[in-house]
Amino acid sequence: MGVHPNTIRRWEREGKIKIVRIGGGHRRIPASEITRLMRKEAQISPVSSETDYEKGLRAFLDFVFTHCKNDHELVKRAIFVRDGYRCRICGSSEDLALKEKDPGLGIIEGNLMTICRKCSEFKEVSEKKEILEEKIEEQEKITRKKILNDLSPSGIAQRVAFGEILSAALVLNKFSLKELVVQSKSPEPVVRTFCERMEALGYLQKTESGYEIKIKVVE
Amino acid sequence: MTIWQEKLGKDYRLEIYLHVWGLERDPFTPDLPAPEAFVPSQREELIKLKEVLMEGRVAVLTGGLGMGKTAVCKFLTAALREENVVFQDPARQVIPVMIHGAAYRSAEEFLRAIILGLELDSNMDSVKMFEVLRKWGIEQKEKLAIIVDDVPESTANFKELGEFFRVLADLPGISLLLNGEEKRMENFLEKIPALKDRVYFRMKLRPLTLPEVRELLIARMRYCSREERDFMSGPITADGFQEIYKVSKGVPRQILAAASKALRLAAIWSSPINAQIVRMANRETLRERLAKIFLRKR
Repeated sequence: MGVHPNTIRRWEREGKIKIVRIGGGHRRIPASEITRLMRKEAQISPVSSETDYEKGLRAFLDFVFTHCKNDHELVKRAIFVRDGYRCRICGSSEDLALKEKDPGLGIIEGNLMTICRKCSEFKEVSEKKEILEEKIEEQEKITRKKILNDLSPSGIAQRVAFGEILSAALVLNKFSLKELVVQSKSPEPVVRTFCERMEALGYLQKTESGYEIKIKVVE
Repeated sequence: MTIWQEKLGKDYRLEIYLHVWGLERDPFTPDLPAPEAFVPSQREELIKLKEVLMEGRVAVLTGGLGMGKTAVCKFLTAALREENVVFQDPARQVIPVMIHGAAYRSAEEFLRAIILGLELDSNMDSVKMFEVLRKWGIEQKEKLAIIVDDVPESTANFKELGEFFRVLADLPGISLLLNGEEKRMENFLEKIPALKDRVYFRMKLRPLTLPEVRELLIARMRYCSREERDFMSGPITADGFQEIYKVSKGVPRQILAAASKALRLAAIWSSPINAQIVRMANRETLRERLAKIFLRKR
């Protein structure tokens, strides 16, 4: 008949063909069924857009994904053949690997694609970046200039001193007054003024052991 | 508490030893930031250095490796910042901007670093940035002290950089302190005679003497102590001071390293820091000795 055994099995499942099972699970197709099908085939003469190569490829993929799902090497080769040994993203033919579109779906033909290592690394990095950026976005972003303006320093000398303390505070993140004095190498009265003003503005939060920065500063 | 201490626990022997001697923390760490702990051996010269910075002139600070050049710069920065709190009159205030020369590759980067150090907007071209400094003496009442650490370590073109410093030195209200290793600094100044002529004061740091070593270590221990205490009779004994001086040859960085090593060994043996402990703690390993011999031959 010129069809793959799998097709016969599918037809059986779909009820298109009657099959007699003999002992040991072997299938036998009655001659009457074959003649019926041949006639039908000839009558309809399906106009398929698939070329022979595509047909063969489909059959091969069907076979691999129904019987040899666990043979990773074969699955990989099958997907490579389907994608023409080219990366789906950049079209490169070097350093190819298999990539699952959605890791939850498992080994299904539609879920797998060919990708080169460069693209796969780039994709991973960009995914990680996206996650990080999302996390950063959760915090409030304020420019350094705005903070220094909000602190309303009395003159340029105090502004510079506040800038120095702000840098030290951003390094420490959680700190006590004394730790900030040591880190910023600034006089204690200035550091105390800085902490009080920052707390009043809501940029710092007072904790049991000292202070904690509540904002994300961007340049 | 650092992450290291959280994961591995504190060095309890050292903690107990420090506690017994009434110390809050290790007094011999090289990055002790307090100006109080700075050795007051060269007081007159330091006073003069500060005066130069307040007058708007150029000073040069030289000295060998580990002689405390950067410590002097940090000390001056901290001292000027502290005085800004005391003197509320802007005409008496001097704003210190300390930049590390080794980090910058051109005069323009130095200029940007100075502008950033002043917390001004650096999103402009170099002409506008320079304009800010040019008008400093006219527009601002405060004076500006630019302290450049390790000038000859910079990878910038020396002639370009020297010319930049010379122009800065001529601007009103701006003073400069250049700091670098002695020979390299001399080399740097040789290339720009115009800058060399403008140097008003030179200070050379020399190795400390034995009484100065004692003074430095005691000042540091006092700074870290919990109560009023003169550390004359311990934890470092008289021969301990002598041995530290001998081992370090009076170089401040070596003094602190030797004292720190001795402190740790003394904590293990729970004995005062005497000559024997210092000698044991700072004994050269075979590898170090071999390296020294080979390096000297080459």
